[in-house]
Amino acid sequence: MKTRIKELRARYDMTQDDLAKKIGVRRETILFIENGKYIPSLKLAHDIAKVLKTTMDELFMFEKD
Amino acid sequence: MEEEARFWRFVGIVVTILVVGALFVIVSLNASVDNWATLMSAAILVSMAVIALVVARKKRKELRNGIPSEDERSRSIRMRAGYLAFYINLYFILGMSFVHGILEDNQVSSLPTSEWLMIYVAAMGSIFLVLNAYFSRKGVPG
Repeated sequence: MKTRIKELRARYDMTQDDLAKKIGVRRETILFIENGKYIPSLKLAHDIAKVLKTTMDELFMFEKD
Repeated sequence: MEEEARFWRFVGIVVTILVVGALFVIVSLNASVDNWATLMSAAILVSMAVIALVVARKKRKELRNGIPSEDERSRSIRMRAGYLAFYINLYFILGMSFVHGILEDNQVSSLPTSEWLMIYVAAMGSIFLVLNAYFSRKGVPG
């Protein structure tokens, strides 16, 4: 799984810590999602997309896609 | 608020364990039943107190910075480490029961059952801690 979280975070000048605090998770969780080492739940993916003002489809790309 | 309550619940449980453990050590020392076992218990208790203090300080700092003590990733890591530790320990107990049987057949004296139980519990706890640390670093496979 690949994500555009890092790119969108940079666009909004947001650190991993800022994003983590906004959605109520630990910073490590954001780090692992960005590196594709953790697949978030639907709710978490939705929350991240909402904070980064995008859609889940835009945010996450799966290998098969 | 929920995080604060969870922190104080953790402190309460640790303090209860330490108080009960300290009482056990004091009673054992007064009765001077088995000094070696009492000293071991005291050492375990002191180690637990030190670890609890370090963990409590870390948790308190995180709480002040608004970092949740757990989230969906840490819960999934704990779940995976827990069930894997359980399965690995099942095979460990099975293997050890064969060893136990062989020792009994050859009339070789071994540890009493209560001590074996302590070893199994300690093994399960250790396996859980190792797996928890591993998945925390490497990530949980999807």
